[in-house]
Amino acid sequence: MDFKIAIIEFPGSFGADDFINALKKYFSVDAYKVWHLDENLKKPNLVIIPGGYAFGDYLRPGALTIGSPIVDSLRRYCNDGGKVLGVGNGFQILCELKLLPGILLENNSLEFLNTDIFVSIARNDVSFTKNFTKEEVVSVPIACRYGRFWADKRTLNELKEISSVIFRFCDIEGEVDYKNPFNDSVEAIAGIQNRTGNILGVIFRPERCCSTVSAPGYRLISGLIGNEL
Amino acid sequence: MKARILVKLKDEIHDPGGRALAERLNGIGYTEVKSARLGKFIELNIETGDREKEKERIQEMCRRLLAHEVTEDFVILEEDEKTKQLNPMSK
Repeated sequence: MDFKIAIIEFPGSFGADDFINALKKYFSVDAYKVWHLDENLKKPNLVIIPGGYAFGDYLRPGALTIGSPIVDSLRRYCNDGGKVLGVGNGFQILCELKLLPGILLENNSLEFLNTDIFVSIARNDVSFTKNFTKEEVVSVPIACRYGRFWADKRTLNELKEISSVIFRFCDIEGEVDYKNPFNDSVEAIAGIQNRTGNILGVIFRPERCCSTVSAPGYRLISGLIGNEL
Repeated sequence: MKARILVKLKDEIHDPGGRALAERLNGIGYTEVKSARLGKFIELNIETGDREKEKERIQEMCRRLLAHEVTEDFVILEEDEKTKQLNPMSK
């Protein structure tokens, strides 16, 4: 129980319990919640920002987290190289805090998409995806209204240059349609990491697909906590 | 001072809400509507006694939080104290 995972909760976050349940049931880790008004992450080995509607998604999803006391601790933790996973709304929060580039806009369909989708692994030479094979196609659950990744041309070029794209939306055969993926994400992006490779944002829900060793959520979280499969 | 801020997605970014709105307007007979953009309206009531400082601070609020610097455009309207008319804020 040495590996410590802090799960940051903002008002409106609802994915923390899903993570706590999954982490305690399937992984031998010490997972605990940290309220946004706290200032101390309590020296975790990994920070997770779960899904939900932080601050009601008002203004823009994730935007109103900017003044929370825990954000300063999160920035220091990230600057020191600490690992962070943002899921769904957590991904949006990381983008709004500029810890990840880009922004997540409303789905093209204007619908809250709660379904299983396919993603392909663009890179497996990073710690997050070391338990996957390159270009492997996996089915993962998604539950979001703001899942359309967007970045300007300069940012996209940077993302390509430093190979920050980790997951892309695709079909069952692994074909990526860069122009018209199912929610119109630019470059079909479903997950990216930052320049230094310690922060990952994904739009899908790994905590909801980790009940078997071969499940993508189990393999992703195993990579994050340093387990070899 | 009272300021009204209009925020909308930049023209080059697809706005599915605006598209849906234009389609609905067409659907109820307003076929002259070719496109629409949906945005946000923010009203701020600020009191410092220093109007120039207030203008500066509102600009800063827009850049830091109220509008996303990469994806959104904003317009600030200030209310004329006498006429109550709204005018674009001079910088």
